[in-house]
Amino acid sequence: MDGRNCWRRGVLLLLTAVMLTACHEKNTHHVLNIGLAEEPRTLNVWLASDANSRKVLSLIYQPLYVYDPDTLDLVPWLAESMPVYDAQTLSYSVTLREARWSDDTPFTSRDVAFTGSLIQSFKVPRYASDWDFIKRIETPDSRTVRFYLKQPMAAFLTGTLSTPIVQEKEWADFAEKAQTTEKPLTALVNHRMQHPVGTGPFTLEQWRRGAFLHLKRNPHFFGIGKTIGGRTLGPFVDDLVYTVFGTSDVAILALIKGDIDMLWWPIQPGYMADLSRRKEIRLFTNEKSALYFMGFNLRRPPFNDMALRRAVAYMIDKKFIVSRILQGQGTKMFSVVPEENRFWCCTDLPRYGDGMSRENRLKAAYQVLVDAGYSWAVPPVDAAGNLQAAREIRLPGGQPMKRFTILTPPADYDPHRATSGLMIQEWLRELGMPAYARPMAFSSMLEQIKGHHDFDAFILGYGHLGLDPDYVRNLFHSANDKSRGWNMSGYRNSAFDEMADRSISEMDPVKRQALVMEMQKLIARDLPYIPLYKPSVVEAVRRDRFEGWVEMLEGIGNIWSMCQVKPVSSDGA
Amino acid sequence: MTPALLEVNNLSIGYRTAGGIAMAVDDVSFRVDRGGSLGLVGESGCGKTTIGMALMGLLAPNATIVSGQARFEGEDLIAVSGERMRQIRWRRISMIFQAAMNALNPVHRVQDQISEAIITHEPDLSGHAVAHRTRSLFDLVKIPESRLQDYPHQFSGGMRQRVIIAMALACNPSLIIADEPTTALDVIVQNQILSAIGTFQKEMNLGMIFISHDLAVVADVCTHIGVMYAGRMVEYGSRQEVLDCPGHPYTRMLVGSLLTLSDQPADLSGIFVTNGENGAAATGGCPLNLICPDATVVCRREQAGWVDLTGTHRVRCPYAGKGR
Amino acid sequence: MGLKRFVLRRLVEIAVIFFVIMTVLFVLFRLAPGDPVSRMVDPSMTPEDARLLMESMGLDQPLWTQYLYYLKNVATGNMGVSFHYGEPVIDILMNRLPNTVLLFTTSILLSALLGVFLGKIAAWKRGQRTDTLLTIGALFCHTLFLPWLALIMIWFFAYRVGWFPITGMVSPDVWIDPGAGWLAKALDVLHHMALPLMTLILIHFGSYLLVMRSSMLDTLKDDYIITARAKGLEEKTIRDHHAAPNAALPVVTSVGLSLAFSINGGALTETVFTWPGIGRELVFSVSHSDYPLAQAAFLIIAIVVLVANLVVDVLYAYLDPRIRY
Repeated sequence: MDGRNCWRRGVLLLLTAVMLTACHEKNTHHVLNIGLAEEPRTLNVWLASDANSRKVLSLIYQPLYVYDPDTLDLVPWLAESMPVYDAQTLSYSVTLREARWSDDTPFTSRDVAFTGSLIQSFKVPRYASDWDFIKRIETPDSRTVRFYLKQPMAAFLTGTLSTPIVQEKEWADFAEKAQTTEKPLTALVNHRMQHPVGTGPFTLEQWRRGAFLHLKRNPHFFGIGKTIGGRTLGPFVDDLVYTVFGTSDVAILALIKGDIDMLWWPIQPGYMADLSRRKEIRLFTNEKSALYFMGFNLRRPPFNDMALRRAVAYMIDKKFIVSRILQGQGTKMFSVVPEENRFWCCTDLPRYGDGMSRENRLKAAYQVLVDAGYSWAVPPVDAAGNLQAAREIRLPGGQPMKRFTILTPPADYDPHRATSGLMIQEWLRELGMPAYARPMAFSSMLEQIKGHHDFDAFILGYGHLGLDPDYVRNLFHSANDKSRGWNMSGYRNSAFDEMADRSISEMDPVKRQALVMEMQKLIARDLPYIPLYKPSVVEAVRRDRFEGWVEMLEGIGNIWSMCQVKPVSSDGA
Repeated sequence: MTPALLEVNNLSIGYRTAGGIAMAVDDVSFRVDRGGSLGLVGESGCGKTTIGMALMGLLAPNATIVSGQARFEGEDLIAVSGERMRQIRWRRISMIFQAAMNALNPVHRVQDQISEAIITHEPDLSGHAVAHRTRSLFDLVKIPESRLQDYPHQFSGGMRQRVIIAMALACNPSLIIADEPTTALDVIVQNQILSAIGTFQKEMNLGMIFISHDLAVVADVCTHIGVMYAGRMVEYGSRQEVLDCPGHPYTRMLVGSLLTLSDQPADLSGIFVTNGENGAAATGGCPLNLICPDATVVCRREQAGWVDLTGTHRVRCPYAGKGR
Repeated sequence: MGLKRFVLRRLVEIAVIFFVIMTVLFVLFRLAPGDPVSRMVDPSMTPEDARLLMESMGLDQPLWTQYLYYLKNVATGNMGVSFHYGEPVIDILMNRLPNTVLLFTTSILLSALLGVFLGKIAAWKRGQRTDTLLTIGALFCHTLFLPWLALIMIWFFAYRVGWFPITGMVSPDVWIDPGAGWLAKALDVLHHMALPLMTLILIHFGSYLLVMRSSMLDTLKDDYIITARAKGLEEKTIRDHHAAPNAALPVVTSVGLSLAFSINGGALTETVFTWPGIGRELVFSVSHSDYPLAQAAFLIIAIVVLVANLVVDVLYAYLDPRIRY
């Protein structure tokens, strides 16, 4: 074989390939190219618990109500107006909009009732808890749905009404069959959806696994040309193409090169300096409904002592964490409810050490500990009030404090939490505490904290908190203090439990708000968790391709943006 | 006298070493006639294989021909170009390798290895003709044709040597250099191979250089014998002359040991052992002077020149033929 | 024949090893901390939800029941349903496998060819400048850090020069165009493959070169090379026809095994180039405790490696006629 000839042929082939691809005609459609960090998990809405599947499915399956991007109030979506409450019968009536499914069949109240009964009968995780208090669903006519509640439940408005509605025609046969199997839920979530039928602005065109996912504009979308929530809806793009990028480095290159128009995932602070210098790139910084916190094991010493936890709170310099570790891309937190959740967040809380100098923090913490009976071999503050290197803190009983660990996720999983752990370790050592930060593989860490309750302190975070504050109850209710329960700290406070139980069934938002505020105050006093920070969401888009992005809590990747972005060129023409 | 097939004159070959050039072959001359066969005898390392390799142009890269000529069919093998030498190889001078060597490539069928030589030198030959010749070569060395498709490792040592002989004959060369062709074979196989070589050589009127450490083997097949010691040829003559009246003390030892095996009790007084000086030709004095029973002061001081005993029998020893 | 018996014996061995691997895999994954549900730390999910999910995945069963179920699954060739994707594991793996095989098999074969070719030349020119350059070049490339090299390649060839796409395996705009024929699609894949291929070859050819070079140097000392020279063969023929085939034998073994291991892909390569192959899926399934997917992926790799070992042994016997079983 002639080696040179072979080479030449290879080079020729490559060149042809390059040219063909380069010469490939751009179609006249407006295609919005979106970069994703991970492959969507599934098109089965009942299995889709991951963020990436939801980025696709949220444009296909629609709920009755959505949140307004500015006020975070409920806005009628598939519903025509706000629900009408009848206290007598404990029922809500919802009037539906005139809408059609993407297969051009009408959307009716039966679809809503079917979705509810499906969730209830299969006990679909993540949704079932929003529906198990619904006693009965009536459909007096094709445009009206009436929900009868077993008991007053606050989650109805925020949870139940935000559930994506599926088409009865598409799911009924399958659901019936699945019910006859040994494990109906397994059969349901493992049902393979090829072409989900929805009411949203886009429909699935094709999904080439591992390569891209292509959505097309849904001509039957109910919102086309309408003004909802004060916004005129499109969509104004013909196609959405999602492409997956294995690392953020290459995704950013693709964005700069123009292969994609938007990165639908937060950018690390390290890329911001470069991107903000580029004219063609626009950055959006938005708040996140998130909670990153330090948690304690209240079931065993030393952190079963509230005074010690409070001293720790004094020592943690949240400003330092946000400005240095997060490089400014985040906010300090003082409540377990994010501040952007304006209605529910309590701002009237103690802000331990906030704004204090290091010296004052140390002195404040020292005072808290001294008052609680702690002593030292060498105290951090000497008789004259000067700071000194503390040694060997002793518990109120006089015995020396045993070494304790602060578990954090490893640096490759989340550098911010790992570094924060190290900083907190250093700050606590200033008080003479034998603190040791220990990064641990994420699943091992959860196993140890949630499964075995075998830990002293830890740093974890919830990246996506719902807007409804029912998680405050979940996280601290004594009923959840069990293996794998949400109450990882083992916080037990009957006053809190009582308020929490009342809060979930309080239908009056104002009264419920008061309860949730009180609950936050209890947590801020007792400090089972010390809220630390929440990172901001920084997203990048190309300025020269599309405009009209709608900023919201969690960023620009939302249904509003997708219904409103317009191609830049067509606007100018 | 007809012109010699190969005439080697004053050939000296050295190996470049860190300490300068070490002579491996020093001033060797001989001739081989068509149909004649010269046996080069000497212990291993005496330079005889180096001569063979020099004639094939296959010296190791660190070897260098210091002086001399090798006229073969009108050309000086020492002076021809590399490309010309490549054409001469096998076509006109071929080689039978030591039986102990892996002279055959293990991954190719023997047939291919033989026809390869033919195709290289006679590119115009049809595939059919090549196959035909390969088959007849196998006939010649008495190996069944069915084994042409076999790989070298499937043959016994003797068979393998026959294949190599067949290969050496493949291009009808006029000179064959056989380098220890029977060493490492058992005595019976050795005899078969030797007689086969002898037969072809005579029948095809080939010139042959037969290199061996074993005088008995050389005595069986060669018309002429050259005895080498430490890079020098010390005696050269016809088979009869060398065997019947060895002139050089070293030759006498070799002949003596040859006879003891068959006829008389050994006369061990004449046997001497070399002292490791072998390999590189000594610069001053006769290389044998330390061990030769007949050595004199002169032997220690200077190289002996040739002493012609007859017109064809020469010895490098001042005392040769002096009736001692 | 001997070969037949050898193959039979090896097949039995493979079956036993396979069973052991299967069991070890099961135990290992169950011993590893965490479960697929514990990762879902979303506080809106109730413990009841978590229990239901565990149940739907069959993880509420005692271990030995799970094990028997797993054995039954493997025996019937049904490897179960992925916890993460909710689809049969086989479908997922069969979707990813061709991509991995395409990229890695091609890269190994090309690296080996290049390595053998250059190694041959290096040995032939031993001690000369060509040899020095090739050997140093090979060592240098071999020690490059793959993700770094991959990024540099992407940055330069895809971003700066723009010859190749940045990552991925296809361009959506070609594939969503109904007018694009199979040729355009095939070329599109080739176009995407070029960069990862170049990167892999750059990293891997060096080891083949070094193996080939040293093997070739040994071979050149062999007697049959002298024979070949004596036969008056051209130098090129001697190098390519007599020395190289013998010298390439060790390379064949290493290529065979590399090919087998190539089906696990390279998690790093596949991640940086966003190549939708098995390697990424493997890492993903392990980190997400997707037991069925991880088990099946490892089992497939085990089978391929075991069988490939056998194939290499048999192949070796064909290439080197001296070896017979």
